[in-house]
Amino acid sequence: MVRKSILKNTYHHSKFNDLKRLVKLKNQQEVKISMALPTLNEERTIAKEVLVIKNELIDRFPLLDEIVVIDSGSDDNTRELAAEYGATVYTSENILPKYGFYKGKGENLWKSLYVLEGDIIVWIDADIDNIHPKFVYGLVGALLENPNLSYVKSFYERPITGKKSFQPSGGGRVTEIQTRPMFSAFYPDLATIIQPLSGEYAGRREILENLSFSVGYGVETAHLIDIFENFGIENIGQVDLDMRIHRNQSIQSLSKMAFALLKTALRRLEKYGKLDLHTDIEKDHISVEYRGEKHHIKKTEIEQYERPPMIIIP
Amino acid sequence: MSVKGFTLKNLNQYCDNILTDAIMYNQIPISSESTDSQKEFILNRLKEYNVPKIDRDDAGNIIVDYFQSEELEKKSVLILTPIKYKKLSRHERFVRLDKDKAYGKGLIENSLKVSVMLNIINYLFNEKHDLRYNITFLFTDISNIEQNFESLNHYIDNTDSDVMFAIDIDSTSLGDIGFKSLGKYRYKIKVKTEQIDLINICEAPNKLSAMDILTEIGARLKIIGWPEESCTFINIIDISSDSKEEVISDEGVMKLELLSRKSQYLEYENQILNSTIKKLSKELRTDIDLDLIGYSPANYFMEKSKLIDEIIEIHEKLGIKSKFRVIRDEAAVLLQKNIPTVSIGITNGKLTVNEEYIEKKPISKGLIQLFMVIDRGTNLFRGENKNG
Repeated sequence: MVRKSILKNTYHHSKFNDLKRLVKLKNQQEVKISMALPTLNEERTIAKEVLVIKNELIDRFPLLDEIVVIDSGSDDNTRELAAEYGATVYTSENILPKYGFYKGKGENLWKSLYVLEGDIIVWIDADIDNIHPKFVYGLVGALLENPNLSYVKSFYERPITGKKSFQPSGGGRVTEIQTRPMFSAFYPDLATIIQPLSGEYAGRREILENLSFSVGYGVETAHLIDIFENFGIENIGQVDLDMRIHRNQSIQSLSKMAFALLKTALRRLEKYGKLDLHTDIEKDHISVEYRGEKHHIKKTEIEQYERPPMIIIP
Repeated sequence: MSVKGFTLKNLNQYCDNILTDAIMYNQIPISSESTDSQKEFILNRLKEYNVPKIDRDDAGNIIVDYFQSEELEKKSVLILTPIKYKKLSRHERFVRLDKDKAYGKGLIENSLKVSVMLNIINYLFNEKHDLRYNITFLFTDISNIEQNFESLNHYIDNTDSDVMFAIDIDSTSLGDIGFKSLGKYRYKIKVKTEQIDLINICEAPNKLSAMDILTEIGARLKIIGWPEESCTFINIIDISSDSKEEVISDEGVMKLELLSRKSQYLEYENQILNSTIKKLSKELRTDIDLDLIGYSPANYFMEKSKLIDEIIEIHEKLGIKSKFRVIRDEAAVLLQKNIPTVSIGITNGKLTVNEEYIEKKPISKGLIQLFMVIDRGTNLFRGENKNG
């Protein structure tokens, strides 16, 4: 039966803004909480994210036990700045080296599970302009207050920011054009998640370690389908974080992202018997560019490797 | 480096807090012309810092007392900082942090001052230092220039505390000592002209728009021959008009200041400015309204005062180069009320049209300096009271 309202476990971050209470709950539940930021060339925002979160949620209120940056090989000062302001910094390539290295957000998240010590893991994107502790305590709070929840996504308004402008509209284009229609067709319950592709989410280690990870953009879509299929929708929650401001990607980048998400979704749909693919999925994204008064075809290889559940890694 | 228990080591943690609060204060959405969001931030922070009593008065001030000395009864040091906003896009205000500096429009003029004061309060209550003096912290709303420091005046006129001396927290630069005020008359000049419809533009080649008139007024005022000894300067703060499509604006406003180091010249110059405007109104056949919207006195804190000597000595001890400058407007209000007042910079930085940043490293030294000034100043005024 198709759900008529949004996800049952939907909260606003302000419900969890009593940080003393959250610290008390954390201690009562005897859990460790880790935050990780996957990065690639984020020197513009990484320092303030680490400073603000460390200062508020480690030094003032000891909600977090560690802040870790997993970097894909930035060629700017991302790693140096993160370390300067108190994060533990890893280069993704150096974690589990015998398993090789893929460049991608999902790869960093998967490898973070290996080095993080927390029972609860919160992942935050490193390009947030309006960083605020609510990005972390909103998600962690939902898990601490609700033992039945295992995985919590964020949602927010996503204004488009240009170089000088600030328009309070737009954002979430791939979600609305691709992911929600796909969920509507195959997983109506997941279609009620307001921002399934949001980059901020938290989960319990016992669930996360049982998930496989797409190394690229498909990681969030795969998580949601896998958790839904294996653990049930009641394990998933979402938290309203009001507004998140970041640089928006070009339509060309979004097209590649959508291609990666499509591949991930098709593989999951096949895996769970929702459809049968009678052909291999092509590995190249094709874009059409107009240069020198001619249209040109540009192929970009976007392979969606998948990492096995961390629980099987010795 | 330590000063009566205020060690640099302890303060370093608070320097991180200061940066954090400045970053978050700087990104508060500014909606309409109000400081409600800023005040909410300050109040929430003070509550988080377990400040036992936070007072708000009818004029929009936020007041925190840290009274530790029974001997001094109601005598206290007043530490103040303004709450205001600047019309900057949020995008420009988002702070970027590197190893040594924090960049972001509004940091120097607004956010750093507030966050420094918040964290001095946090420090005192959190560390529970046993001081032998009383401090009143005042966040005063000066967002509306036309109210001419109404909030600050309201506080001073109604407080029970007996203010021994006051420190106005300024962001930059470390070593700056604001100690004397510059006399100021602030004006708003409004003009109303005939509206020019763009469709009739060819029929009105010699007509003047509101902005034409205002720029002409500005130019004429700048060439008035003021007496050399008055050190007078006309400072145009802002010129704006209601921009409309399809017509050239017929209404405009210019805000300006008449600055002079000597009060006796200001009244005379005010009269000249008034008569010049009347003359221009006739000459340009335009209604020009000149409103006096504010006044700051040309008063002096004694250049050879002991407090200034103490500050210079503190700077020498801390390896800070002292530099005298004009005191900020809100502090001048206190000078006018015979309250000895200084402005003190906390760190170094740069403020230009294109760039605004503060330096991270000097903040701890700036805080040490501030605590030393409070300490030495209190002892000084306590001694003067006993002797007096």
